[in-house]
Amino acid sequence: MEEYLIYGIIGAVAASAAVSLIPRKNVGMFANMVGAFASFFLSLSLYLHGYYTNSWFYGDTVALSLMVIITMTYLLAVLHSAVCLNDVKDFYLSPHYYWVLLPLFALSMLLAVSTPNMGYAWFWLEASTLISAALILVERGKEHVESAWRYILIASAGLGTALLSVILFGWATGTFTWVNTDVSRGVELIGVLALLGFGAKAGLFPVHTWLPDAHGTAPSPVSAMLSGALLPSALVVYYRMFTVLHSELLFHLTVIVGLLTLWVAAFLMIAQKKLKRLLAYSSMDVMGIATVGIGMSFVEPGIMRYVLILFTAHALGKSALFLSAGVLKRMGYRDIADVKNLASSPLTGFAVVVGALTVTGAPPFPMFFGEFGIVLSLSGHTLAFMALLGGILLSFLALNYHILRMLFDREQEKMHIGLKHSAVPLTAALSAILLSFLIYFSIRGWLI
Amino acid sequence: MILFSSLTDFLGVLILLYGFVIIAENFIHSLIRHLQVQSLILGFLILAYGIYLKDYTIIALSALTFIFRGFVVPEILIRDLKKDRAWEHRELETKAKHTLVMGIILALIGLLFYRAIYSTLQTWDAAIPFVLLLLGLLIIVMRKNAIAQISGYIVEENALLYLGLVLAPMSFLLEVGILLDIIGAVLLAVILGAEKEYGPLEIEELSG
Repeated sequence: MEEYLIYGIIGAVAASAAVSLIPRKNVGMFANMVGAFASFFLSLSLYLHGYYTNSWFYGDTVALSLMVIITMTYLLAVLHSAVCLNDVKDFYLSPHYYWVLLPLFALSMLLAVSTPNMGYAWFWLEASTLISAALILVERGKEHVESAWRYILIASAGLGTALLSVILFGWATGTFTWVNTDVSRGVELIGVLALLGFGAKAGLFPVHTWLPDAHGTAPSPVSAMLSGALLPSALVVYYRMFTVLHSELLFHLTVIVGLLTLWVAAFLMIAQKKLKRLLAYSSMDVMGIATVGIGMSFVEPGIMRYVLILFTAHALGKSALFLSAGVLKRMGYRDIADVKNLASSPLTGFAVVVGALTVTGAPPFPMFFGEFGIVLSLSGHTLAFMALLGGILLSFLALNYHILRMLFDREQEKMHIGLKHSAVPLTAALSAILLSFLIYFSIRGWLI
Repeated sequence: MILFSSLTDFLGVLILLYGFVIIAENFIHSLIRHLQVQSLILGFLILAYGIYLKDYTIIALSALTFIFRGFVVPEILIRDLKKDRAWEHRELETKAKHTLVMGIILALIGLLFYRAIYSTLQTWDAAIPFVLLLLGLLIIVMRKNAIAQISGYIVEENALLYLGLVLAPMSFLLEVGILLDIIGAVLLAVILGAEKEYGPLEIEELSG
């Protein structure tokens, strides 16, 4: 049964891409809608079936959760694209290529997180760079070309370092499969290269420089997928390597890099003027917290469940925010200072509030549970505990300060955003609230 | 065995020397030709490994390297540059001399660093591609022109294939080679498309 579900998920997404090759209006859109709904419900079903593995697929809780996150973000992106792609005035790539590339992007991430082979995980991540860079180029403009150029160059150079770590992994183990593998030589070297390489793709400090540019200029559904699905996928591939290497030095290094990423992102958020760049740095800070969680899984492997909550909540919250930001951008509001009285548009205002509170870990929103678990795991390490808590508080204040100004600054007339443009961000926000309830009713068993 | 290792060492040194030549080159035409020669030498190196190991996928990889990096990429670039007289001259803004000095320093630091890695790897075979990798990254960071940056990326790719060959001839090396070539092709398409529309692409800084 599980095998059919896997074929179903991959088949649905791949078929969407294939059908979208037909250059007729709306064919790509409908193919993607069918594929996105099918893949999301099939991955949810696979998650509920539980652990499954074979020679080319490794489906533990981490991989299955990531598959749900990827298909969910893909679904939200498709639904919103159906509305907002009509607003794009000048295409650099033909619109039907957009509908081909979107499922291919989801497919590359699905394969990256579920393969038991480190080499192929790298391969699919690199393929996702290529596809997402093409998606950034959908809209015409020099800034899009420059952003795509920077992204592909920096991410590929970073992934080159990751490939080096994969080559060394193969050299040290004689295999590229990470399942049931021990590494006895070159552990630190492989680990540091992997952190640097996969970290570049996950937007970790100091190799994060492509992130604000790419997120800032990509169409907002693509930004949502980059932020909600791609960054966690890269971190999960690193987590696989981290688990196999099981090195104390790497544990310390991962936690330090995570904390630095959080703090750097929080400071950069304070000074931001552009809305989508602000959200990009917010993604960076969440990846910093998740990296700390991955580091702490060296001591307490169960901590990964909190990291997965973090990823899920972040995907929903950031989708609500990026999709709303995309609508505002089309209305001519690029700078944070230009957006005023957003609360007068209740649906988008609600989506933005819920999105912001979710991604900053405010209780009772779902990310709070994830952050709480990770912070608690550091309780024995006073300095790191304080650093993590301080960073979380700073990023909470930085993002919500800007969001509050956008919502309640009443210098401007009422802002009207129709239901059509608010529907998908609102759905993401409501899903985040639903997730809070689900976690609340299931988490008690974990804490005991 | 001695003939094989002498041949691969010789080709390896040539590849590294061409890395320095690429760093020092101001003229875009010549830069592409140097890149072409380096890729062809890499193709011969891969072919030597393929024949020595009797591995057909590695021989296929060498064919791919000859065709794509040794011929298709440079010829497309040269053809495109001939259309625009601006490229008969130097790169619009260049830091080639600084980059060469930095490259020599970086190579020495890289070798020192490799001495530390040697205790783990127990082989000097990977020293050349390791230094070449650093040089590729240096070109990407130091040069502003998009075509000069793509040359850095291809140098980095060459170094990675070389490393893969030396350290762990692997089952998926051919796929890696194909993917890296596709990325090269996409980068090329982006540059050519963008330069037709906006003129020569000079990226001020990679940090955005």
